[in-house]
Amino acid sequence: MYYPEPISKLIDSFTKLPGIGPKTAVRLAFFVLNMKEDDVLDFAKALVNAKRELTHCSTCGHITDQDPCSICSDGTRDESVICVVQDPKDVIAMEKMREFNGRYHVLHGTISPMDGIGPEDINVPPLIDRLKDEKVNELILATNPNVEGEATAMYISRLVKPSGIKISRIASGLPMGGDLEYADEVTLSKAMEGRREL
Amino acid sequence: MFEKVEGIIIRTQDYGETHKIVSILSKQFGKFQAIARGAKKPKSRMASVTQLFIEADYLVQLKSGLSVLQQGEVIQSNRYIREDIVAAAYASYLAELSDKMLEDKQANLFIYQQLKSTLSEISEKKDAMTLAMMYELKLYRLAGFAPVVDQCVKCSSLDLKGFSIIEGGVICSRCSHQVEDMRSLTDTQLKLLRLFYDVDVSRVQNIQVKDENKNALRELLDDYYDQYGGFIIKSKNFLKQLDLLQ
Repeated sequence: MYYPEPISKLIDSFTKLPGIGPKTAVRLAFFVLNMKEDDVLDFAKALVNAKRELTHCSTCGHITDQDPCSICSDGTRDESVICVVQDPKDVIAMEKMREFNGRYHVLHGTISPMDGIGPEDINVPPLIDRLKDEKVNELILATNPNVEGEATAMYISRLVKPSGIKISRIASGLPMGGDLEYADEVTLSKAMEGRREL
Repeated sequence: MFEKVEGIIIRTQDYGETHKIVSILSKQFGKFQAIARGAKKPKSRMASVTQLFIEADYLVQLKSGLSVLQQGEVIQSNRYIREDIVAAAYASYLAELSDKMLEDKQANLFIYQQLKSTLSEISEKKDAMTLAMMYELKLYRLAGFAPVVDQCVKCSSLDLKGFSIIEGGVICSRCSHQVEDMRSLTDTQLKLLRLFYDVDVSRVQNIQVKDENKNALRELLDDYYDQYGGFIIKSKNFLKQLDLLQ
């Protein structure tokens, strides 16, 4: 009520973003007022375009502006290996690694009993359909190593195991640059369990 | 003020980019919420001690609102729970039930020890469904809506025949005609119900309950909770989905 309506609306819009409180929203709104009109238009267009043009790939569930996405339509990638990840940001993280040449499947969440999120609420059924249609030899479960991620990995492995497809879980243990002295026993036991011969 | 507390993580929630808010059921101060700054970073020393079902010694800056978690050292990781989907589902159910039914900052040593023992026994691959029922009945007792299981809820007779959810307990053969929702239970089931109610989880050495008895009591307790519980327990749905998978 202290601000003219246009800026008040802008402040309300900013507060809808995660991590933005009322004070930050006011600061951002006033920053926008001081921006050049072209920059503001570009910013607004970028927001609308991201919302309108991006969709989920009908094969893997990754965000894309073309269906199927660039990864699924890339003929040079190994289609016999699928890496299952929690969300699109994980695909980006894996792609930055530049060592994985298979395909992905994005679950858009994990099974979380305490939040009432079951297997039906995440992108699992399309994965099962995909395994029936495609010639997949290996499924890599790359969900986070926490209770929800482990539960999701276990659920998928139980579903898929009867089909005879090789199922693997990404390793977990000490991070690069980490210190053995400060590692806790859970991490250390995982690291010991996943040790490999040199 | 910094306090050293022994506790179990019963709920976690991401906060911002790298932080976590955890609910801890502690031995000394009961249930409280604390923020663990940076707990989501891969190299954080708080990452493992803020995982669900971890039992640890924590150094906490206790405040009237949200406390601050400073350090933690694992006592028992209950690792098997995180590696088995059935164990994880039951442990989640018990953690959610505790989180919803226990009052903040009201210490209860008995309930803490019951949860600790229950998670520890589940972690040792003992029957999670039976252990869950044993813990649940202790919680119901604390919340004030536990069923009467040792004598007829209407006339105190010991010649028991079944259970009435409306009456809130076991019913004798003489009163069985007076209640409209009489559920017949076998002698074994009635005995098991009393055992689950009375026996301390930490004293359990070996659990062997037939599936038919377990399932009958599970169904009974589910209906009983629906009548008197009051809170919606989301993880219960997951347990049902899991039954379909098995």
